[in-house]
Amino acid sequence: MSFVLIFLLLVFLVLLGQPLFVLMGSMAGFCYLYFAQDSLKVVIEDIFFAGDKEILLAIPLFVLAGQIMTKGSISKRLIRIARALTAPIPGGLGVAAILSCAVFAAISGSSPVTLIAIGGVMYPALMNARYPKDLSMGLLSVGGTLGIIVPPSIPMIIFAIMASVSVTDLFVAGIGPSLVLILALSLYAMLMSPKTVREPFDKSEFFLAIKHGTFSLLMPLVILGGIYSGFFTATESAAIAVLYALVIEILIHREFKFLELKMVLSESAEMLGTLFLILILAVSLNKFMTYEQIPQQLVDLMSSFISSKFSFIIAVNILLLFVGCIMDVMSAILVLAPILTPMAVHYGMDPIHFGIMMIVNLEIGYVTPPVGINLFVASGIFKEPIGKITKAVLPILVVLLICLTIVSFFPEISLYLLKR
Amino acid sequence: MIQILNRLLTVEKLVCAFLMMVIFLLVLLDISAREVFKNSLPWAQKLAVYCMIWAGFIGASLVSAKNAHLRPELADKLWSKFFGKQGPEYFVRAQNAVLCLFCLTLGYYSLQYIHESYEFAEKNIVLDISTWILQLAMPYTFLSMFVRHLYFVFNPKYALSFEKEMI
Repeated sequence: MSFVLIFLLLVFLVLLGQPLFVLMGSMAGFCYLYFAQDSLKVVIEDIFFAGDKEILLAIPLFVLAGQIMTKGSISKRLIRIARALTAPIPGGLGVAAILSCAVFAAISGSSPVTLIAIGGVMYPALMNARYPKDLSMGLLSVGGTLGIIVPPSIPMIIFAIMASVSVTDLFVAGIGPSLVLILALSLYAMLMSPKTVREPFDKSEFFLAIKHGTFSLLMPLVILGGIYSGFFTATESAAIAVLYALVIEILIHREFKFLELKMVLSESAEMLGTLFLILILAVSLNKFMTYEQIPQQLVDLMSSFISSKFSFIIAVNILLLFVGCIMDVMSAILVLAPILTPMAVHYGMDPIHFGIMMIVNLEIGYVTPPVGINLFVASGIFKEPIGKITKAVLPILVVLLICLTIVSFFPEISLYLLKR
Repeated sequence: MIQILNRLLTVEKLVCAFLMMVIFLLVLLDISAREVFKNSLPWAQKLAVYCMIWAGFIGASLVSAKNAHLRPELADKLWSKFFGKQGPEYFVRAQNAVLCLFCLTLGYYSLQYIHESYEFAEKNIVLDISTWILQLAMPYTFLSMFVRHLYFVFNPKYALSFEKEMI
């Protein structure tokens, strides 16, 4: 009866187009009132304590760093280096598109931002080089999704908070799967690109590109190197990223005006505000579920249907792929990470490996209809209908699914660097 | 009314920009103190966390000003199907009426919660500040969001103009 009531409440709120924070807050409030006969004051207490966590500081700082770099010229400089480097190989420009997305993703931490920054510059270049339209749109739309798997990534921070695992470990574990994805997408670009499109290696252009883009190229090394060496925590590396971005964009590249900073700061606060209420209300709901041992009950229930780790991985992948089609990444992590992580641990999976598997699954959700955000962003950038973008992405989805299978069944890819 | 809301928006944007800058500077100060003077500042990150809480809450209010909070859009078209041309306006009115109720409820309970903190004279040990001052972000935000969504209930066209802008 009680679950029917929760379901009806959810349907009612969705029909009224309520924001996610209202859905989370109403469910938390309903659970506390109905099941625990407690006051709504408990929800308020929960949300204040949920916000009072130092790890959360990484979110506004990475958002801020991403905003500064999107306004500056880092993306253009990275593309120039990637193009100069990959010119002589078949399908070099397609590979350059993937590499540019990967490096920019390591800086911005966001998939749509990566697609906007790289797609806007690379799409005309691919068209000029006579790459097929579908291939170009598909590569860039999928390349943009690397934003959430290449560390640092905001969804990884959210997963770490919801599943109570280390953000730094999750970042380090993301390196291996990112390389698998980059390699697979680059190979696809090489195989599917027209073989005639090939340019000789221009040494002077390469060194010129390196000269202009050295500082942009060093940024991921500073961020990831700092975290991996243990020199910085995730939060500190985010502050260093902001400092680095400000120094190179204002003093070295000189394409970002100091006056723009006020706008960038308030825009970043808006992005923080979008996430913050949802996150803290989800934590309140999660606290209730943990207190009532709901994840444990679900584990017991699942045990009667799923007997092995292998079948659990298959079942969870199917579930997450479906969820990725109908929910956005943040909501999926906020709702499912606290429920699924204890199950994964019960079936003998490392929670860090599970987190990476979940992120790769949801990465695919960025380019699957009806709520694939990158499809909408790509439609805006390439000025093409969403149906056409979806058709262009479909063949590359097969590559992503193969990578997902590899990442799911070979945990060493994620955990190798952590065990060293 | 709209002029007051626009002024509030300008002030909130300024406050948010200031808080974001303070968060960045405080974390940087903590790293510098640890690396240069070999002595970290425990209060710096704690203060940065409270600035983030304030920035996060006021940031949510900025998002409310554009009626742009993340939400499932599955049922949006149903309203036009049932109510024709008037559908989107009815939808915005109903949506924002529920939002008003939600914000008012949380605002009321957050005031009660803060009142208790004040009565018990709770203090944050690291910063040596009364906790209720740090918690004030909650009722402020819920009240500010309530006023904005109430405005949208009576002026649905204004809320719809943001959706067109986003498209």
